[in-house]
Amino acid sequence: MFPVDPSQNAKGRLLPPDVPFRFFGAAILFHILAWLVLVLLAKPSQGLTWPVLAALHLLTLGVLAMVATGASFQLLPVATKRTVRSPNLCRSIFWMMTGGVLAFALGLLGEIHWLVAAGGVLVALGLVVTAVLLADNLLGVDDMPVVTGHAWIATLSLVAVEALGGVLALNLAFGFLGARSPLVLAHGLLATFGFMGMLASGLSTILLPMFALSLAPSERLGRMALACNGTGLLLAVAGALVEQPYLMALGGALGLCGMGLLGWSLVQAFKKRMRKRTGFFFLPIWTGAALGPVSILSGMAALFDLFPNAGLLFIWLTVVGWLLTFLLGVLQRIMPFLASMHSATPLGRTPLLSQLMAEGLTKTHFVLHVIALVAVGAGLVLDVPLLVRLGAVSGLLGALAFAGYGFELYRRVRRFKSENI
Amino acid sequence: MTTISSPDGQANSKVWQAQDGWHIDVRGMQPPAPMLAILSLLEMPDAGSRVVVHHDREPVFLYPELTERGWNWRLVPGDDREVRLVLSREAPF
Repeated sequence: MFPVDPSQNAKGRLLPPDVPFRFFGAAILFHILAWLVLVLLAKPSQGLTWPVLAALHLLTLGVLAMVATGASFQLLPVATKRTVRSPNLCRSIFWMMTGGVLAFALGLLGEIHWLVAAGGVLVALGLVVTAVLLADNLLGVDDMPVVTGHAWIATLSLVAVEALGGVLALNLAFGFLGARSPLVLAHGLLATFGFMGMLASGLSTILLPMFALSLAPSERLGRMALACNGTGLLLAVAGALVEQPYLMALGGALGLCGMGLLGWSLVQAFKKRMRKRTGFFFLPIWTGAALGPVSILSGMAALFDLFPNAGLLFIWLTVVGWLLTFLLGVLQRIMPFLASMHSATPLGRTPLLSQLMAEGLTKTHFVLHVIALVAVGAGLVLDVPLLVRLGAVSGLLGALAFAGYGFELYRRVRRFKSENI
Repeated sequence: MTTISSPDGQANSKVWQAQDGWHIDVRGMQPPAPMLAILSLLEMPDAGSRVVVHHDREPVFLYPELTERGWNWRLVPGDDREVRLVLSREAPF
């Protein structure tokens, strides 16, 4: 019988590999740039200076949003059973976001207001089109409510993030806002806990069981987590906008419940997993997941001024401790997984994942990342700039190790294809 | 025909043996349950060397797991409501 080319099957077609991997590749480069800016230019003792803001946005927009966007285009259809409508639109989003992040960061570094505004608008456009594509993919889908529910909140948060981000970027250029702190806080909460956090929570209920070969976690607990997460986000953002710390704290408490319920349901599902040895990449995933609640607690501490620089620690733990650690763990696994699927031969073989993954580099990255996390975090709380800078150097070396992992994956896939296709 | 129930009470896979080997129908199941049902069948001692999968879409995420276990796959024509795969433990087709 004539073998059928798997990539030609319309019911299960993957996006062309260049779509997710261009986002992942850009994220790897922005990851290096973010640490480099922190090493060379940041003066953390002066708070959120422009270089610190540049590094922060290189991480949030350049790394987190890039990974989330590329991964959702490829992985959300697993839940919705519908492919993303237009690969070309995905590619144009990539160019808008990449150009926008670069302009935005360069504008902040050079204190060029119009460049910040232009970059912000470009990124906002890219992410709004992303939101439209995600909403289009989610519309009419009632399967897997825990995944799609979180994805809906993420999509709506993204629209709100971009609306607020656009206003803030234009305000940098034209200075029309009176008090901008409530908007900045709401923008940050929606970007991290809304867009990124909800997407990570929802997709993790499919992805992590798939990685560990376990059944999906309890839908009942997932629905309760979804309710807690959604309500918590709403209260926290409302509290930020009306400057009511108790309302924000209530939102944070609900967020803690949501994370706890989701984590508990995943742990229960994992107890019955088929794959007993889950691989090194689960260490950053669990570390990141564990730091999620810690970041909320530090946020609560910041609300009530429980210790100095708690606000900076909250930002650090949320962006780097929770989201970056978690997403880089996921990225370590989905890059070879997707590369393997895209390298399927017409004779029904893929490269072995173990042959694609240069685990030594991921271990090096994780060690350096944890050193950076602890050193910068301690430096921020204790106000020791040297500690922050040394931590940033460790982060930079870790980012280079991660880039080496990506490059090695590319090289190994090329070798498999040249030998088998 | 054997019905394998998933512990969470979601849709079940149907497994039966025919002349051409074991068949498993995972249509209607939510991910990752189809992958687990198929891999569980492959790990059974009497799974044989040929399994026919009836799926509602191409299980692209299954392929790396099949390779890890020394199985090949090929898509074959099925009816309109399914994607049919033949999994084989033998040498590549």
